[in-house]
Amino acid sequence: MESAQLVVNFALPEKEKTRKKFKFPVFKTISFIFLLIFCILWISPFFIMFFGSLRGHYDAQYFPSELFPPHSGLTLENFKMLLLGEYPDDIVHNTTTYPIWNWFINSCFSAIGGTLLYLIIASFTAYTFVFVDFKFRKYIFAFLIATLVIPGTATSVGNQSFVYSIGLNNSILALIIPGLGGVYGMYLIKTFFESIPKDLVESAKMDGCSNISIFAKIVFPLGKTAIYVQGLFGFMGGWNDLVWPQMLFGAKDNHLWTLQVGMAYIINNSKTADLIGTALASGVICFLPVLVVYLIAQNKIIEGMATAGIKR
Amino acid sequence: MEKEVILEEYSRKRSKAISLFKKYGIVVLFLAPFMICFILFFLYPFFYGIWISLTNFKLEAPGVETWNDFRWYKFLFDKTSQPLLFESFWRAVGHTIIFSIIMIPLAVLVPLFLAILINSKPVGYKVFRCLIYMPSIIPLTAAGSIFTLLFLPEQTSGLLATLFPNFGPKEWFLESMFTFNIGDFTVDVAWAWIPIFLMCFWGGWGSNFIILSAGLQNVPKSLYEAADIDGCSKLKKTLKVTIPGIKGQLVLCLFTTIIGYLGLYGQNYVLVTGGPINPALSSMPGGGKTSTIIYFIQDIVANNTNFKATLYGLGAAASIVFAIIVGIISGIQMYCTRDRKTGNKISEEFKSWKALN
Repeated sequence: MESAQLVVNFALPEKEKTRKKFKFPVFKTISFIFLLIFCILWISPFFIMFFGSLRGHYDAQYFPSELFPPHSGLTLENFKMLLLGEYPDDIVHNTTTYPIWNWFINSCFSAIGGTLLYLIIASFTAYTFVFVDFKFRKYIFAFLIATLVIPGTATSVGNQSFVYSIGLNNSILALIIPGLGGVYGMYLIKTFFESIPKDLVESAKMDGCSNISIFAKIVFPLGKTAIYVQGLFGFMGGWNDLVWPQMLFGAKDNHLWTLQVGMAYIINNSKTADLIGTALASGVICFLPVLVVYLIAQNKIIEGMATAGIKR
Repeated sequence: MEKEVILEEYSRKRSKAISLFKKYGIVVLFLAPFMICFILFFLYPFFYGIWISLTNFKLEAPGVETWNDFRWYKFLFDKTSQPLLFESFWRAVGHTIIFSIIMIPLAVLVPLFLAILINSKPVGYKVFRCLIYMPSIIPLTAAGSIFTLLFLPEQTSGLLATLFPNFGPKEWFLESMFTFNIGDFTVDVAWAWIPIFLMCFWGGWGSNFIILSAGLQNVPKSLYEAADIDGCSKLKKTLKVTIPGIKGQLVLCLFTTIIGYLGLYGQNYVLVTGGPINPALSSMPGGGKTSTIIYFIQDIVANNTNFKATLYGLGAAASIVFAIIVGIISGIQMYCTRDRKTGNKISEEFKSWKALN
C-alpha cells in the first residue's frame, strides 16, 4: 500500500512535465503568422513612397506599374527638381523653385525650439504642483485640468487674431509661443513626477537644499523619463502639425510656411505623372527626421505612451 | 530695553518676510511663465473667440467692434437667413458625423484585436509592435503623397488604376459613388472618401494599439489562473476577464478617437482639398463633397483671403459650436475615467482620517 502511493506520487509530476514539454503553441503560431502578413501589408506604403520618390519622371509616365524597382533604375531626379530646381526640359511645371530650406528651418525651429522651451516651463510648473506646498494649489490645478475639455479649435480663432494684433503676424515666433500654455504635457510630466518618492525631497529640504537645487539634483535626474517622453511627443506633434501653421501663414508669403504646409501645397500642385515623383520626394523629406527620431527612441516612445495611457 | 524689543520685532518681521519670500517667491518664479502663457494664449483667446463670434469683428481693424445680435449664429442655425451657408455648414457636420460613425468602431476594435494577438508574445513581438505603430508617426503630407500616387487616374499613371484597370471609378478624386435623397435633401457620396478612409485606417489608431496592449499586460495574471481553475473557455476568458480588465483604456481610446475624428481635417485637405466641388455650394466655405467641420472653419480663417475678410466671425462662431460639442464629449469622458475610490484609495483615505483623529 505504501509503495503504491509512492509510485503515484512520483509518477504525477513526471507526466505533467512531459505534457508541458510537447504542447504546441497554437495561438502563438497563428498570431505570429497573422501579424507577419499584417505588418508586411502595413509597411508596404512606405516602400511605395521610397521607390516612388527614386523613380524618374519618364518611368512614372510610361511604366507606371513597375515600381519595385523602377523600369530604368533608381535616380535622384525628383530630389534635384525639388531641392535645386533643376527640372528636365520636357516637364510641364508652373513653379520654378520652392523655398524648401526655409520651410525645413521653420519646421525645425517650431518642433525643436518649441519643445525645449515648453519642457523647461512645464517641468518647473509640474515640480511646483507636486513638491511645493502653497495656498490654493489644489484649486489652481483642478482649474487647469478642467480646461482640458476645451479643444484647441475653440481657442485657435481667437489666438490667430490675438497673435496678429500683437505684431507677430510675420514672425515664426508665432508658431511656438501659443503652444507654451498647453496643459496636457504639463499634466503628463506631473503624473510621472508624482511617482518620485516624496521622502527624498523632504529630506533634502531638511538639509537646507533650495528648490532649484532640489529640482536640479533630485527631481530632474529621477524624472528624466517624463521629460524625455514629453519631449518626443512634443517634437512629433510640432513637426506633424498642419492646422496651426496653415492658419497663421497659409495665406501669406511662402517663406514663412513650415514643411507641412509647403508639402501639402506641393502635393496639390503635382497631381500629374511627371510631377507625382516630387510629391513623393517631398513626403520622404518630411518623414525622414521623424523616422530617425522614432527608430532611435522607439522603445521610449512606446513605453511612454503606454504609461501615459495607464496612468490617466 | 525698549531698543531690544524693537530690534526683536524688526528681526521677526524681517525673517517672516524672508521666509514668505522664500516660500512664495519660488512658487511665483516657477509658476509664472506657464501661467502667463496659459492665460495669454489659452484663456484670453477663448473668450476673445466668443467675443469675435458675437460682434462685427474685422480682422484688419480690431478694437471697434459692435454687438451684432447673434448674426453669425443665425447663419448657422436659421435656415432662412443664409440658406447656402446653412447648407454648407450642416453638410460638413453630416460628413464628419457619418465618417466618424464608420471609422470609430474600426479604430478601436482593430487595435484591440491586434493587441490581443501581440499579448500572446509570439517571436519578435517587439518588432511587430514597432512596425504596427509606425504609420501613426508619419506626417499627414507624406501619407497623403503615397495615397495620391495610389489613387491618381490612369492617364496620370496612378498605381491602382494601372494595376487594376477595371477596378473602381476612372477618377477617384472627382466622381461620386452614389447619391441618395432624404426628403428633398440630396446626399452625394464621393469616391474620394475611399482614399481618405484608407489613409485614416492605415495611420489613425497606432496610439490606441499601444495603450490597449499596455492595458492587456496590466491585467493581473492571477485572474486568468482563477478562470483556468474554474474551467473557462478561451472566448469566455476574453469576455469576462480581459475586456473588464482594460475597461479604463478602452474608454480612453474610444473618447480620444471620437474627438480625433470629429476634428478630421488634414486627410481631406492633403488628398483632395475638400473634395470634388459641390456645384450648388461652390462659392461657400467648405463647399466640397468631403468637407468637414474643421474644413469649414479652416476655409474661412486660413485658406481663403476673401472669406477671411468677410466671414471671419462666422469661423469663430462655428469653432465655438464645435468646441461645445467636443467639450460635452470630453466632459463625459472625464466623468467616465475619473478616479473611483476603490480598494487602495479608500484604505489610504482611512489611514489619513485615522491619523487626524
